[in-house]
Amino acid sequence: MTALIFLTAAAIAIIFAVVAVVHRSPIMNVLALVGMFLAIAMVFAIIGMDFLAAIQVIVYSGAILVLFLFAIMLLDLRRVEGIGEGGVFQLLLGCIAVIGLGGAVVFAAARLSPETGAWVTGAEYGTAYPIGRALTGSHLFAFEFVSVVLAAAIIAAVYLARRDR
Amino acid sequence: MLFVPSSSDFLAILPEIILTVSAAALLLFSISARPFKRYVGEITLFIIVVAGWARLTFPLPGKVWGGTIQIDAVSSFVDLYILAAVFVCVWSAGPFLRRAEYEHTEFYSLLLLATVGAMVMASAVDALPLFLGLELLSLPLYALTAFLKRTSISLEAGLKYFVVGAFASAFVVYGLALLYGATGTTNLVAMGHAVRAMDGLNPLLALGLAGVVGGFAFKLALFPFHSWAPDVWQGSPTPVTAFLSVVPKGAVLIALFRLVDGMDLLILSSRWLIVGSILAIGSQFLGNFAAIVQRDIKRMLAYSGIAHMGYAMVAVIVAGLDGGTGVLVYMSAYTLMNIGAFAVVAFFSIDEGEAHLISDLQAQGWHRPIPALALTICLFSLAGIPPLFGFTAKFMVFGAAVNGGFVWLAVIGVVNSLVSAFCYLRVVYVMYMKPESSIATEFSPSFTLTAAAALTAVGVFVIGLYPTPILTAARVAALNLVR
Repeated sequence: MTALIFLTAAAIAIIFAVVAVVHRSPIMNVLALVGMFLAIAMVFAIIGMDFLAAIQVIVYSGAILVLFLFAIMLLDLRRVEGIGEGGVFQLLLGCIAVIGLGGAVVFAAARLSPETGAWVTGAEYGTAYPIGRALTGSHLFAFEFVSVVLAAAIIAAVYLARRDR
Repeated sequence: MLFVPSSSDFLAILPEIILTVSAAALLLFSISARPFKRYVGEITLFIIVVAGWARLTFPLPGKVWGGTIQIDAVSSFVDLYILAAVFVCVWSAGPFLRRAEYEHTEFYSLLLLATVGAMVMASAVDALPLFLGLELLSLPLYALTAFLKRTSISLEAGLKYFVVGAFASAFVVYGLALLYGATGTTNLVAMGHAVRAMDGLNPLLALGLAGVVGGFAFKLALFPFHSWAPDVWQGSPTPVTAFLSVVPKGAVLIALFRLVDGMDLLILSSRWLIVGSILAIGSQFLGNFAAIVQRDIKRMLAYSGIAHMGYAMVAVIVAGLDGGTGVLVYMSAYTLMNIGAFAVVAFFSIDEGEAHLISDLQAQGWHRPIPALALTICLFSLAGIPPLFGFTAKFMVFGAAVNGGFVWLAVIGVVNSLVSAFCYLRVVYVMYMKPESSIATEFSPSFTLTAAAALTAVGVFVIGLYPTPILTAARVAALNLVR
């Protein structure tokens, strides 16, 4: 049963991911991304990561992508023009790259045994507690450092978007 | 265990804190104190000196912040050459931005933030700060590449760099996630232990490594991930190109070395040698042969940069103490001579929208003797001609390869150095042996740029003659770099 739910969620995620990339309408792209994030949240829920699943829905699908949607509607972008018209050669190369990369992932995943990989377990597995502990504990530096990264991104974006006098 | 940062945790990252706070303060300062806005460049230079002083003065405690950052001799060595590079970039940026009419404080702010990213990345021994450092290094650079907003080639370069760079970052983070999945830890040292305890690479690990190495190779512009480099280097404002050509590579290469050496990849997998030598040898051949046919000096230096990362990659393959020393010496030499060369390119620039043709430099050896001589010294050093610093660095890397039993890598490297001499000497030939072209009189002399170029050229010369202090420092640092 779990396997069935997982396969369904995985299939939905992949389909939505493809739609998010290839569809011409930016609104459809974002909506497909919302669908993909929901499917990923489902996968998190299956492996017992309740907290991550909830955060995935609330933060990504709920907040960030809705913001994307607002931005796209405000800018009135109806159709992406001129992208994906690189000619047959590029299309062919892109397909080869995607199939090669996807093949490598599938090949590697197929040869994995369940023992491969390190499993994190414990009484608090999947709850907010270990995540909070990691973020304010040993990863405190990274947690604070993210704010610098975001500040840099904001300065960069404001400079590029600003109209010079 | 609950981690509470102590004062030594903060003191260890004081240079990073100084630079970050200053980057924010500069922006506010330029709004609130407009009359002083034109001194922003000088203030930034002062801040960089203070940060360098802080790195040299305060103790190097080793692992800090819960073991995610390691501030030791490696940090101080790498940070100093990064700060030296940024110093010359900022120094030459002043007259450049004034001439291009882009005197915005954001330039200095973003440059400082990117510097912090590079410094954190070089000191990170955990996947999380490693990746965040890479992002803080890349994000400001995307905007800096497109800094000349009214020039189309600058915008084009920014967009190209952004798309390729975001792609590379995605590969790095996907690879790191898989490595975490395979080993159960984000700590690079513990990751290395876990991997060495396994017999060979399992598919998860192989895929993760491929992602990380591929992403890093994008950032280093190694063959076959190099195609963005010439366009981006050509289109960026020249001081940014100078920064772009050295600082990210200095940081990424250290991170790559930590990963490769920590996992002992040479012993672990026979495929790594094949992959690594394709990256190294391919970059050398492509870079040197493509550099020969370039007419634009920035593009020529871009291909030469690809080749130089190929040489540095040889030291990464060799790994161990010799390889570590080689990487550090090579990156410091490459930083110094490339920065010097770009300061001269900024001097011989009329309009950023136009190509910087090598043929425009005709007879400049006689008309502008000091910048031309500085460029000559830097190019000779890039070619690896003794007694300059570039020769010392190549000697260290190829010596390490021979000692490590990779004579063939050393031989290929030396052959490539000979080929590369041709494209560097061609520029020198044009500068001294050709009659003056009509465009040459339009170069506006700049004392600042001349001084910056002259200083780096003197550095390349003096360190080449007396390399012992640098070599000793690199050796000491490499002891901390290897597992």
